[in-house]
Amino acid sequence: MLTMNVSRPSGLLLKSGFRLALCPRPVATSAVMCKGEERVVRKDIRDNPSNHPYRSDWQSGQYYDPRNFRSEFLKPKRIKYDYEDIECRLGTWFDPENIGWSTWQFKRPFDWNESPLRDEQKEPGPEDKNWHDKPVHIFHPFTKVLEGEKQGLLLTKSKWMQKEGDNGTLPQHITDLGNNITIPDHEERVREAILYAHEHDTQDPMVSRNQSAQYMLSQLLFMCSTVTGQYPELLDRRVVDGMDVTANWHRGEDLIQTKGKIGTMMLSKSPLPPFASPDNIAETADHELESIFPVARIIDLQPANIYTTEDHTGFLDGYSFPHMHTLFLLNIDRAARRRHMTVKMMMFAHANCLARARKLYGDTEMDLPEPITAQGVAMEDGVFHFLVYQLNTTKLREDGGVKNMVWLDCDNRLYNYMYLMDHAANVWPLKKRKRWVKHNKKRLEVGLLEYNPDVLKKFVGMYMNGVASGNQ
Amino acid sequence: MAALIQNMRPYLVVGKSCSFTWPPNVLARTCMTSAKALPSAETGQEKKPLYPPVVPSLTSNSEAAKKYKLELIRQKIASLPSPKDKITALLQQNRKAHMLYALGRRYNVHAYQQWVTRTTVVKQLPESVTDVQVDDRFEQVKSQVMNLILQERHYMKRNDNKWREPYRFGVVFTKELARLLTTAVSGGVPHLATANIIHGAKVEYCWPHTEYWCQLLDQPDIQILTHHPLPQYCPMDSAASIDGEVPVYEWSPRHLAIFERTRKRTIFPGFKIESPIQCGHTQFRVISKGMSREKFHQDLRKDKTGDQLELRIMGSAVMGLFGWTAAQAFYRGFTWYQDLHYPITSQVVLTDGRFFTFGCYQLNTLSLQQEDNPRRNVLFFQESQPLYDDIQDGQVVGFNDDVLRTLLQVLGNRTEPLQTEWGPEPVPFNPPTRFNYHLGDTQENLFFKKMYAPHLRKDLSSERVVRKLKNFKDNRLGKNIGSGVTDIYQLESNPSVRKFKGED
Repeated sequence: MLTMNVSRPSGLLLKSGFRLALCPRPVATSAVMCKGEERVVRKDIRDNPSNHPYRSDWQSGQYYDPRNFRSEFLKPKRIKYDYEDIECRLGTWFDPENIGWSTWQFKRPFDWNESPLRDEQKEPGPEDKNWHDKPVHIFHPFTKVLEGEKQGLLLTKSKWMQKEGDNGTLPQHITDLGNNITIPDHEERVREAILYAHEHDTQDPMVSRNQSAQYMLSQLLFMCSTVTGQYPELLDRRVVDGMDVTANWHRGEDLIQTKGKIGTMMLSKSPLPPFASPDNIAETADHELESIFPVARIIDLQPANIYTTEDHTGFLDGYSFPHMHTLFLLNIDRAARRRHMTVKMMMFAHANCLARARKLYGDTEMDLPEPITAQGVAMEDGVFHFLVYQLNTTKLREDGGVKNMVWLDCDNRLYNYMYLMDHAANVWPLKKRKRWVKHNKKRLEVGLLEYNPDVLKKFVGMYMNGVASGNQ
Repeated sequence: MAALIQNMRPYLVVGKSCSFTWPPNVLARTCMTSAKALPSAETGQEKKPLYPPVVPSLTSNSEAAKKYKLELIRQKIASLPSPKDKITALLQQNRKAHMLYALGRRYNVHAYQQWVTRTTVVKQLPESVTDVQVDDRFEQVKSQVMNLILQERHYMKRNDNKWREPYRFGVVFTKELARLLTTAVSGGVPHLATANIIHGAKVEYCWPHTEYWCQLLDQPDIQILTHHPLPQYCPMDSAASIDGEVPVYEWSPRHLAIFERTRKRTIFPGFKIESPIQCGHTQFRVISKGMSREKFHQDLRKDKTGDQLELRIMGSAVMGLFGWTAAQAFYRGFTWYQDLHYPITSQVVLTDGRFFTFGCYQLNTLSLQQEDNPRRNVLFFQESQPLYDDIQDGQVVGFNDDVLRTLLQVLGNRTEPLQTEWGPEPVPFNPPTRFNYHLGDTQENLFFKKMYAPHLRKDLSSERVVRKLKNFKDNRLGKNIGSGVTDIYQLESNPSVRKFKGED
């Protein structure tokens, strides 16, 4: 630190006379005066780069350029100072840009624009493989669309069935299934799973939300699979991680593609039965899609000119579990909200159904003789969003005619978990009386705030769909 | 000093669940008043002696006195009621220990691993496992497993190097195999229907060996926990448990790239002691991360070290199972100084997706610091066999029924409640938990609910809730939930968006 010393004579005092010659010009004392907390630096000293402790060889006319300076920033060394009144601690240096003392700076992340590779790389053009002049608009798993569910419905040409305000309900069939089928000790087991997911599995003070969500999902699936003894058809299910799906379709003039790896998917040998009767399907022709004008419906999708238009459901032909049953999404992205999760489920369920439909009926656009269905569950921190999707038509170019169907049931909170004070908060050490201490405040209770078994029923209903009927 | 200790007396409790305990010499001094005499083995009908026994002085620094003071501390710790307090008391400070990992990486490292865990190896599975009946659904399960192999090897279209990496493949395949087998088997065996399957939990265990301390750090890929323990494979006084051969390794473990580090000593079997399901049944370990079979076969041609592959797999079974089982023994109240009354057992399946290796471990003793301890731990081990030979034209070639049968036998090995003749349970098995299913409405909890969960409050307007949430520091990630509680993009208030929408 620089301190003001009134009793000293003017002129910069050096500990050794040796470096005096290197100093480009003599500088006055009392360079920095302490004025309470804030430090005031004399301007001519501040602007003279030769006062920088690392680059004393700088000339007075030379400008400070941080780009040529990076290696020094990354490795501050302990150095001896000639100035008597400057003490430098390890990793601290005088930074003329910031007018004062700086500490460690982290390495800048790689920036493509700064890289020399940028100029070498050529723009993609028609000579590239798979180049198309017409761009495709890609929806990938990290896409967050502006208009939420409304935009998802537009992109997939779907009608939101049983919509009530901002939310909706699931088909009666699934609700009945969930109410009728009981899994032994489910309440006990779910509570244990929640506690385990948040408390028991690690010695660390916190578990990551990814970890706890993974655990909850695997527990719920395992719990549902324990009724295999009663319903041996459950053996015809397969749960697969990292499933890959791609599908392309035209919406008006725009070509839209959904592709990417999406969480966990449950597959089955036989397709799910349709959720709506042919009469209901015919009725959807009267429905008018809600517009998001003046925003284009492809907003936030990623345009690309290099692509292929093949569809696939993630495995080769001849696979014995070709039908998507349920898609499980875990939200690990803090910035993703409900609308992003539901749109993601909707788009990928649609893509999978579309790919299956094309495999069954060919590439011609038609109203499907037998609708194709899929389900989705998204979970984040104890909140579940359920989706049921039914593909009625592959005529997606025009807005008129029969629509596809979506049932959505969002914001079902299975539980809320409370972390309190010391348990979570004070893991960062603080400096107190020259020591780093970790606060250990009074230990308070931790636990479930609200547990709602009805949500579990919906989950079970979706799981058991296809092997049991609701009217038992 | 005496006055200080007098004043601190209420705090001088060994193994109190706090972050600090007193160093041994101070503890010994405080034990002066509480432990008056050496406890004698014979009690009751003995005539009361006229004089108190002669014991070493507690203020002396002689060897005998040091030993006596340590003994007092051990007795104090042994008398603690709950295993949690015991572990806390035994493992307070950072000390040096040899860091061990399940997979050794040096020539003949299995000898050291057996020596340091005092394990003898029997090269066949125990009868209680091989006698398990596999029911008539075997054919069904077999076709399912063949389907699964085809799915992973043939049908799945994962265009990504990440997924083709052998370790990743092993993990994915094992995970799905475990999921499939537990689903398929759980109808027939009740212990799997109520089991708990954990992925990637850490296992840590430390113990004193004759001359130094060891600390095992391990992360098995899948653990299956059940409500009741597995039965023993052989009695504790059988030939293998007493006279089994254990190789001697009396050189420094530095030669095997095992080094000392100062670290907090830990004992943790993958779950906290409050967890309701406490008995380890089976581990699944994917071993293709640390070794590749092809490389070993190359070495076989070059150096004739081909048997090292099996030995290394065996060594990782020894270390992993020893640490896991012994940590569970600590949760049942046994320590290095209070040895087991009855054996504790667990099982392992080691695989790289194609070759399967099985191990069954019986833990007979925890006190490895005693040189004259006659007991040995036993590993029953079956060497690797391929589950299938190859895939040709979308068909599995050379499927090995025996491997699948053994797999089902291992998973179907029944658990039993603890037997009374095995001796008394040292502690209540499921200690009361400090975690609550539902928080009671005490004044404190109400306050914190209000503070941390404002969205649960009915009396606040939504603006106030949003304002409160904005200020709420999200401790789970150390970040502010911040400005985007209602809308991350702030679209409602963004002037350009409003202009675009024609609201301005």
